[in-house]
Amino acid sequence: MNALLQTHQLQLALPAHTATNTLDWSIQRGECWGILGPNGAGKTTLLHCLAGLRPPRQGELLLQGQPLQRLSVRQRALQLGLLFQQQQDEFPATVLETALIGRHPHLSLWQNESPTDLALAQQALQRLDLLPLAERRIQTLSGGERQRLALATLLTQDPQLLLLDEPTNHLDLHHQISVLELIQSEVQQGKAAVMALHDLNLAARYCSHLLLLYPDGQACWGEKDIMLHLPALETLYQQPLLLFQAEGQSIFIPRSTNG
Amino acid sequence: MPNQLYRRLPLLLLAALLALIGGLLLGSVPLSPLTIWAVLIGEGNPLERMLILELRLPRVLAAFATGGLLAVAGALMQVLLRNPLADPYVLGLSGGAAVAALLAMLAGLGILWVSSAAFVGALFSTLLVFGLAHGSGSWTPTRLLLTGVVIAAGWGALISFLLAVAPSSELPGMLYWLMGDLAHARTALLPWLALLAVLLILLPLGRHLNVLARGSLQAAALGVPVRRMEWLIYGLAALLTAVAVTVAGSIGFVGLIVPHLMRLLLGHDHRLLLPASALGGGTLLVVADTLARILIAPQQLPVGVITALLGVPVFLLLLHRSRTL
Repeated sequence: MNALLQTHQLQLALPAHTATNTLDWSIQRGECWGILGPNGAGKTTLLHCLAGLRPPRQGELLLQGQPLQRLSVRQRALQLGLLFQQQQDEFPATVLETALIGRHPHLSLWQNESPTDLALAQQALQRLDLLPLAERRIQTLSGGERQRLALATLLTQDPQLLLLDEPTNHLDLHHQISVLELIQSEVQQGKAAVMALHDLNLAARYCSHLLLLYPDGQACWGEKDIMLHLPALETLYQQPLLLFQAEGQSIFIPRSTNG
Repeated sequence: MPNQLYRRLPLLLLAALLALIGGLLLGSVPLSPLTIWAVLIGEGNPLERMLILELRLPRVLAAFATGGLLAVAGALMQVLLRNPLADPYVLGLSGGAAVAALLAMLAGLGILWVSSAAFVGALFSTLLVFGLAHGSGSWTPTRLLLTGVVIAAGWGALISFLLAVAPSSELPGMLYWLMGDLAHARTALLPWLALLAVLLILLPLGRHLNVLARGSLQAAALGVPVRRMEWLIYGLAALLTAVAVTVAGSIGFVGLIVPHLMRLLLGHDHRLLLPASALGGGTLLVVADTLARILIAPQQLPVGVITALLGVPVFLLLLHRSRTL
């Protein structure tokens, strides 16, 4: 069976990535990957590279067995969707209009959005508790609402592989959980997700697999239970950690560094 | 998005028609609608025929098309630079055209040569900005904008220099050209062809523009071929502006305020915004040009003065009321 996305001898084009090892990684349907790493390690670059938005220094990406470079941007957008860390909102627009642009790759040049597309956008807004705000202007949203709207746009796009750059940014506790459960339910329907996360506990709870990315470009990846290895995580973040178990979950707490 | 906003388009069309008819009726010699009708169906006396068919009709049509060109070019530049305050001249295109046109005037060349020089100057400035913005780094809207602004400042200095050394007999003509003037618009064919061709090309790309306005990375992630689209937009906007400058010199404010007025009226969908901008820009320039002809008749004002006088308060009002700019 073909992996949804596969990397062959991939190296990111980052000056700090001096390690010579390469990434030969494959993402299967039904897997939810977390990318863990300190600031500046290249998590965002890796996600952009997987989405085909940035060329790698070397290596190849295969989307369902086909080289990503040979697919048109529209074909890629039907399979791969990316939640950006920041949204650019220079022009006024409403919440519903913003969700609806997710349908763009599904429509041909002369096609307009159909009632079905509109219904999909509204459904996505509903799933993120944004439907009451549908007619609001995006400039009036709070940071957390804007982040959920970006997720709703991604759900409207309905890609097979969801690439998410810090999906819990700006979200309150309740929405952190509901958004990650939403992603989990998408994955259970046969899609896959790769997300950059900073919260070890959320990663431990919602990811099935983890990839640890070090600042020099070294990486190791595998199933969650193997990867949640305390010394490895302490080395990754240069931060001593405490590990607790509660209700069958691993809970990581950073220790104070002042002695 | 098929929605109720499309119903406002016929209103714009009606306003455009009224402006065109008003432009034919009003002038240093006011005419009655009956006279115009008589001339249009091939009757009327020779003087009226000449006045309408050879003077007012071409001028009104040229004004409409030029206004449309500038408004569409402005809307495109705003998307290209992801900057709501961009206008067709922001990248120095009108400066290049002006320097070339003024040089042609100083050389004592006829109006046809002045227009041709303006066109060549505009395209030269476009290529210069594009080549320099490309540079060694990446091609970003900010880089393009800064390059354009600096080149525009350079053209500004050259324009001042040419005005300073020009013989005083040439100055009024040069100043009129710089302020934008439709008195020399002989043919409406070129601007109409350019406007219709570009609208036809852009008609299927409106949704692409909507997505591109959300930033180039987001657009790329949603399947827009960003680089190709940006080249196309830049090329088309430059062509539109070059044609407009060739017909009427540099008329300010139409390209800046019309797209914003249309956004307020009709929302943010470029499938609607571009044809609406063409109509709105055309209407505004016909009205402004008619005012320019009658305010101090029989003398004429440069139309750029009127668009600025109308544009400044309208734009300030918009800016004051808007919470998003």
